[in-house]
Amino acid sequence: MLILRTLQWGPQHGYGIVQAMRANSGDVLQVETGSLYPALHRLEKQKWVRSEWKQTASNQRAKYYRITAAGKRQLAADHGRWQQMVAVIAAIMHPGAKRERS
Amino acid sequence: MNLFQKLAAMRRRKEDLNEEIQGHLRMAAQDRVERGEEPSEARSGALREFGNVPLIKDVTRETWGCMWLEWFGRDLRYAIRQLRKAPGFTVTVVLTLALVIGANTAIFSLSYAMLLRSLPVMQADRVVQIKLDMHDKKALSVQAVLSGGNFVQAELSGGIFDALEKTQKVFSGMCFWSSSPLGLRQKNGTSPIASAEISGDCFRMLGLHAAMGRLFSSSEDRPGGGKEGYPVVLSYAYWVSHLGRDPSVLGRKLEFEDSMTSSGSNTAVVVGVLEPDFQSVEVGDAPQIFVPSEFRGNFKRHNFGSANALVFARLKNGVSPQQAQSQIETSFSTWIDAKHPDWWTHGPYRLPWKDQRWVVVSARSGYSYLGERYKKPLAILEMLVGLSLLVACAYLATLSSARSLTRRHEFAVRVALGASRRRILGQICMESLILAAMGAGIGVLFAWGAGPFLLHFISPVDDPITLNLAPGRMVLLFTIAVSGFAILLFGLAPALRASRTDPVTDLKEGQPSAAGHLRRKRPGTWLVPVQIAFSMVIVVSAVLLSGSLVRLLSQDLGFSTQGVVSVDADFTHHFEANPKIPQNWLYSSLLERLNHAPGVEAASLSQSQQISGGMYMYQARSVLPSGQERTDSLLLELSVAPRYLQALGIPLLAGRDISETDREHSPRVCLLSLSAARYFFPDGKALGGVLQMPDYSTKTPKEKPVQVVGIVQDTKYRNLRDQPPRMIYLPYRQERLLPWSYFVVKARNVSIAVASLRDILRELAPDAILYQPVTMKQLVDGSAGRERLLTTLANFFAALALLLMTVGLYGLLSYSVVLRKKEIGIRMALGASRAQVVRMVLRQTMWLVVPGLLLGAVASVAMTRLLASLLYGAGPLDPFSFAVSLALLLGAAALASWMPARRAASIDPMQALRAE
Repeated sequence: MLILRTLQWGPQHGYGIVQAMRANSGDVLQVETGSLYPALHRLEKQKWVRSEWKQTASNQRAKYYRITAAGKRQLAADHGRWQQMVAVIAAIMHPGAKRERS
Repeated sequence: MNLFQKLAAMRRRKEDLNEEIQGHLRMAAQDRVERGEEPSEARSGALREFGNVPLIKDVTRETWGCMWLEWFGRDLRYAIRQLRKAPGFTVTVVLTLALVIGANTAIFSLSYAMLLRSLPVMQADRVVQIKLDMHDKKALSVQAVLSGGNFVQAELSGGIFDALEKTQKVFSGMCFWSSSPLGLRQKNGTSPIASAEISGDCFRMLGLHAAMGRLFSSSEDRPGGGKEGYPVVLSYAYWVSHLGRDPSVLGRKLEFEDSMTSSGSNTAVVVGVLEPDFQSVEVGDAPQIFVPSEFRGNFKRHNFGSANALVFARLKNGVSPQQAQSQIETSFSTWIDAKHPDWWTHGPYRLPWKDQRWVVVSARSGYSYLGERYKKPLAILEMLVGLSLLVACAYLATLSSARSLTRRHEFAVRVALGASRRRILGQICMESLILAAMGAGIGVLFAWGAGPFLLHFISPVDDPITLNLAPGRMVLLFTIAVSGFAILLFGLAPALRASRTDPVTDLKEGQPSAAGHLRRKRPGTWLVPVQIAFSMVIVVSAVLLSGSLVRLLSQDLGFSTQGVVSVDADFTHHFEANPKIPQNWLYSSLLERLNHAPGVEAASLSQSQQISGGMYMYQARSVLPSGQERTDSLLLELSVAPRYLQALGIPLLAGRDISETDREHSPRVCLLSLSAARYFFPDGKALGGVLQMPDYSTKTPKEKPVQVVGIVQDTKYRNLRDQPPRMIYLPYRQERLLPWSYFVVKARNVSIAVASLRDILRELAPDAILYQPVTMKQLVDGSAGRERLLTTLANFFAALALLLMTVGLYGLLSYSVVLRKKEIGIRMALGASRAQVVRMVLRQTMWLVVPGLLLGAVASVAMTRLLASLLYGAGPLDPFSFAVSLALLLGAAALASWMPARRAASIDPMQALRAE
């Protein structure tokens, strides 16, 4: 989901994804490259992302991943489920806060 | 997408991935450099951050889902490398597998060809055969005597076929099929050619096609044939082997000897060549030519009495064999009640029709007399080869267990480096797969080569069997199944064991040190007793069968086989062509000349052959002085010329031989076999006694007196197993001899004698057909063909099993001596003598051997019961055979344990302990 989210900003290559995630999470999230590439290839197999070879800004050949329509739908669904889950977890973790709000 | 494109695509993707990751690393390193790191440090830092590159590649590739292919290729290469590193192991395994898989394949292909293969005809499962279930309560015919009254007769007579064809409503076509040789006239004389006389509808009913020209039909199966005369169709094999695929053979006239026509010969015109796949409706039979059933004349084709044809039919749609059976039952009964109220079968005897039943059975795989005869031996052979396979697999399992133990270190390293259990399992299975595939490949070749050898055993000397044993689709499938089974047995267990490798303990131990590990480490301790048990079953069977064969062949037959040859001669045509020549005159002048030929010791003529010849039964009656009568309605009769006893070496016990003076008009005389003499004349006064025998020469059967002038030794007649039958020998001049007879010649050199016979015949009776000469030894050996086949193969399997058992046991014991080296060293250091060490190893052997033998004894008792009907002169539990087998197995075990025991005893305690 995180990968798909990152790709929403536009096509990106593997290294870029790592950098983007690290930057967006304020260096809190260290993405393991060991799971990144398998994940990317799995997403590609499920047709949620497409890949193509392009030149990077520093004039290097790199494989760019682009989110597909199906990927966006999947992201939306995942996003919804995630929000639901966060709410549930929050409710369990802070029972009081929830009561206050309601 | 084919495999190569797939592989190419895969390689492209792999390169892509590599480039992608390299790109990642470059960019990461560049970023680091920009942040101010040293380029070399940046590179290694990026690598550190990235992690294990090959592992990530692997995991990523796994998501593609084509990994199995890559693994397969890699395992294959790895396995081949491993096997090449251990050539001894590889060769042993491949050879063992090739032998047992080959043996299994060979026996299966024989069973398949004899019993299971479908006829290559249109919708074979709709083809049925019609047979008669005979109930001959009075046991009047030969077959009835041999079978105890009830038997299924496959051969029917032409007259019955006509009646069936006329009255049936359930078949869409019927076929009359009679195989017998015809005398084909060729440039170098007349020689018999295997042929089938078939009714005109056969080809259409079976749905056969011509490879060249055309086949014939019903319109040509009538007296005189079609417009061009009788048509003849050649078999494809004959056309290829004898005519070299000559296309101009169509329209050629073939001339046959034929006594039924006034000219003594008959011609037929070649109209076509039959398709190559089809051989015959009878398994093992291979006619070279096919002629219409009317070719041999009205009597041969339409008479009621002589049953000599197989009858096949095609069921109409929706009719089951049972329905067909009940329909022909009713309609045929109606017909026969109207036409032939009495059912005639044999000579003067009549059998009531109401006791006989029709049988309609599926003929999908044709009629197999061979199959009926060999069903049991084949089942036993299947069992023996199956057991051999198990023995071999047990041996190989021990072997590869030991191998995987020695490779423990290697596996441990690989597990420690991150190989999964599944991958290790896969690699070991790949090795087994390669071994089995190689074994199976060689095995199939071996089976193919063994085919003619097997057929040689079962072929009667004078009537070779033609069976296609080339490995076909079914046979190959069977081989693959057997190989798969073998892999499962010998490959899987050791593989599982190896994949359970525990890297920690296995890496730590360089050499096994403590005795405590022994139990766990000894490979396949339970396999050896099982192997011994199976070997014992095979060995016991082989010993029992060998004993039987030896007894069968070494028994006193009552006649001698040394230098005796028998030649079948057919004078039918000669007498038809020269009606003025008296038969007996020709015979006696032939014999006169032959007896004076160089090297001939005695030559005679007989109506039939001892062993496997035809049987002629007579009725005879004696009246004792007391007035008591003794009758034998099935006395075996043999019409012979003088000197028959001499030629065959049958001892004359009392009286005289038949002589040339026992002529047509002189008093009738006979010789009796000893048992016949005792039967008819229990008072012991057979010589000079008188038998009353029916006289068929007159219209109304009368009896005529025949005087006994000699008593001869009993001889085996029909086969080697049966008790010698009661026999009567009649002089050929007093008994009307049929125009085909056997020359029996005893000579110093058989082939010279046969050459003289040919010369004499060419001179005196050029139109006679002389068949292949057969020595009595060949006949006797051939009649034990079934037993010989079984025994030879059983011995082969027994030797194989013993060898594998010995080698397996030896390997296991040597290995355990190596493992226990230190323990033995300690024992010796503590004062154990060498003899005690040897005893210890032997005790260990006994712990493996004794349970195996006990298990084997139980299994053998169960198995040998199946052999009972094939044994001769000893029961299936013959104690002597069991003792011999036991001695063989114990001997093999002793041999196997001798070397390891010696090695154990020669261990130097100092050295053994220092090595710790």
